[in-house]
Order: sequence, then C-alpha cells, then structure tokens
Amino acid sequence: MKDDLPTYADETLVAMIQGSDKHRDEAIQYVLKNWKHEVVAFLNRQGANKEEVEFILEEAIVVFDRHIRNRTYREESSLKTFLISICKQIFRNKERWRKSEKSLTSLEGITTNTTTDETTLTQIYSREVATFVQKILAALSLRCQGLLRLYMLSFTNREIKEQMDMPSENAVGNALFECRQKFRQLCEKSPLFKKIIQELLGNE
Amino acid sequence: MNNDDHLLTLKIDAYIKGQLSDVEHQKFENDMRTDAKLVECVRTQRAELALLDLIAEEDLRQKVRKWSAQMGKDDNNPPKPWWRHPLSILAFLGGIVVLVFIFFPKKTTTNPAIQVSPNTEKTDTTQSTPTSNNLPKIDTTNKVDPSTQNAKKPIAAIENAPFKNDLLAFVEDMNRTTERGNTTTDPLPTSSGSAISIAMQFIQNQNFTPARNLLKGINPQSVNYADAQFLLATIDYLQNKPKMAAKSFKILSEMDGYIRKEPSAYYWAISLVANGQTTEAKKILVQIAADTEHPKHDAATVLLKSL
Repeated sequence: MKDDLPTYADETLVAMIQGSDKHRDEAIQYVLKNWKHEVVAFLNRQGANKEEVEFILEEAIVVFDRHIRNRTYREESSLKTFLISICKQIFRNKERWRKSEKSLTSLEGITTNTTTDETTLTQIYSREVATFVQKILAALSLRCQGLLRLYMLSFTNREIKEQMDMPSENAVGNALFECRQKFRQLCEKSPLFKKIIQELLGNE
Repeated sequence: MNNDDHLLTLKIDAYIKGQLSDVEHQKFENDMRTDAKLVECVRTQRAELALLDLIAEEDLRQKVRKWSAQMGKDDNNPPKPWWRHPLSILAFLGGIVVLVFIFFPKKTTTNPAIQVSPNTEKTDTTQSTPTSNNLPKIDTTNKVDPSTQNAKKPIAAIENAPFKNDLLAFVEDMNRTTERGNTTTDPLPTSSGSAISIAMQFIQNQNFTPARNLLKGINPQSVNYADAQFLLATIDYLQNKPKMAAKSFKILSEMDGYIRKEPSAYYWAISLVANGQTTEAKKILVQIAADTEHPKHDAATVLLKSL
C-alpha cells in the first residue's frame, strides 16, 4: 500500500493539512498509512491495550490536525515525533479522562460506574455532545452544514467560495452569518444547550 | 439581516480566536467590562464555536476510523517481515510446487511400479533415464501391484482415448484465449483466471492431480466456474472415467448460455460413446448435426455416420 503513495516532506504535509479538504484528507491518510505502525508500537511499549491504542490514535490525529490548521505546531520537532508526543500526552492524561467521566454523568444523568473504562467514557462523552450538535446541524440545509464545517476548519472566505462554487467572498460571509444565526437559534431552543455551555466553558 | 449583528459576530470570533490586534483586543475587553450583554454574547459564541469545532473534529474522527478499518485489522501490530507473512509463505511454497511440476512434469513415473508397466514403456524409457542412475535398481520382472497399476491408468487412458486429441486440442485452444476469464465481471478475475490457465497447462502436461486441485478451488460464483467444470470433466474423460465425464458434460450442456458458445454437448456424446451408451449418444449427436451453427456440427455429423 505504501508503494502507491508518494513520499511527502513535513512542510508539504503541513501545507496539505492547511489546504483544501481533499489535500487534508490525503495528508492524514498518508500519516496513518506510513506512521501508524510506529505509533502503535510506541503505545504498546507504553502499556496501552488495543482499545486504548485505537482511541488514542483517533484523538491524536484530531489534535495533530487542529494544531497544524491553527498554526500552533511550532516545527521544533518532526511531524512524526509531534504525533507520537501527542499520543504520549493523551495516554498519560488520566486526569482529563476522569474529568470527562464526571462531565458525562452531569450531562446525561448517567450513574457513573466506577469500574467502567475511562477511555470509553471519554469517547462516549464527545460523541454525545457531537450527537447533540449533529441533530441541530441536521435541521440546517446541506449548504449551511458545508459552510460551517469549512469555516471551522479555518478556511478563508476565499477558499470557501472556491470550494463551494459561490459567486463572491461577500456572498460567503453573508451566507455564513445566516447559517450561524440559524444554528444559534436551534441551539438556544434546546434545553441541553445551557448545560453544554456550562460543560464546555466551565465557570469562566 | 442586521449588518451590526454580522459585524459583531465577526468581531467576537476574532476576539475568541485571538486575531485582534493588541489595541483592538484591549478596547474590546474594556467594552466587555461595561457591557454585560456583550459578555453574555461572547460566552454564547464561544460555546457555539466549541460545538462547531467538535463537529468538524468528529467528521475527521469518523474519517480516521474508516481509513483505519480500510487498512485492515493487522495494522495494530507492527509489520512483519515478508517471510513471516502467511501469504508469502504460501506463495513461496506454491512457487516451489509449480517449479517442481515444470521441471519434473512426470515425476510420478519415478514410482517403480509405473516404470515397469508394460503399457507405459514409451514414455518411461525417455523420462526415467536421467534420474534412473540415482534410483535403486528395480527388478523389472516383478509383478505389478494392482494399486500401482491404477496409478498408471491416466496415461494409458490418454493413449487409448478415442477423442483425446480432440479434447486436448480444445484445451489448448482455451489456453490461448484465457483472457476471456479476465474480461468479465468475475469478482476475482485474476486469481481464478490464472488458476484456469495453470490448470490447462497441467492438463496438457498430463499432470491431472494438481490441475484437479486447482480447478476444484474455483468458487461457484466465479464466471470461470463453468470453464473449471469443463476442464474437470475433461480430466475425467482423459483418466478413463467416461461415466463421470458424461455426467459433468451433461450438466454443462444444460447450463444457460453455455451450450451455445461451448461444445459441451458434443463431449457429452463422446463420453457416452466411451461408456458404451451409443444410443443415448446418437440422440445428442443428431441434435448437434441438425444445428448448422453449432461449433461441433461437422464433427458430430462424421461421428454419427461412424456409429
């Protein structure tokens, strides 16, 4: 499988992840295909079991992608080392998992089972919140869903215009604002929204 | 749409994302100190962005899950060297078996019983010479064991089969057009097509056992299945099992779409002749002879006259 892919330098991968949806997907697939074995071997050496490895890898890719898109990757190490360090951090971040377990309990009213695996709970938590937003997104048009997704991936209005074949950057801005308004109205109608704000933002 | 709301939304986004200049940032925070409504707007918008971010991330998570699944279950283990991979080992052993059959196509004749068979002296004298020096001396006067006599039967059958040339020529013709199995919608065209091709070579070299094993392994869902059944019937015929051959050729003749393009019905008839069922064979041959478009029309007419 590796033979079918070209070899990308770190700079190229960064540019791809920060670029169009297609290039980002290609870069992440490249990372998975070429580095997954090393990441898995590292996590196995750390003592992570199979389920933890799957979970950590997924989360690490998300964090890795976020740092690169938000330009917070400092290029002090190679991308592969960066990905492995994220995995290490997630694996060791037991505190975060405990917090997530607590959050899930307060959010969904589920009695915490102390013997339940923490990693699983973290995963359920993020999916539950995402399910809430997905329900709201589903009430929006496909165009709005696409616009909001690209906006959240830090695409500029110009890039969104090209990707979604829209007439102008102004049109993108206006459409985005309308979609945000609709999204906000739908969120505010849900009784869960206040709880989720509390959960996501804490008492700031 | 309220233009002020739009501008405020953009400004709050820029504030949350840290995209304001120091001066703008300071001014915005001063405004927040005196405007409780603005503080609430910022808080709501921060939550909104966090939720949207989760959606964007969930999208990526699902993709990662899908891609990981596509890469296979074994990806959770570090890669094994090729020689430790079961498929590589099988391929390696398969390669050795193929090489053995290529270089020693009549290896079975090293069986002393076959070498001494009076029916196979033509092939045995030529085939066994190079290796016979390394073999223990065989007493050619020994009586042949009945079980080993059966082992030489295939070759004897070929020598005596009345229509073997015709069948072997047809197999050779199939071999030349192997690609027909690879141009179809066969789910595994390459593997089953290759199996057919290799099996045909085995048949031509009179190595029936590996050919039979290869052909039996072809999936009934494969479009090469009919060809495989045809070749298995051919092997039965060449191995002097006309009854079984007739049965298989009959099934093939009755298969939809097969009778028109392949001469299975004719071979069904000659298998019946070999099995002594001349009357039944004649009935089939009459039908073929009446069909001027049948590929075996002429051969059937000639055979019918001779019966």
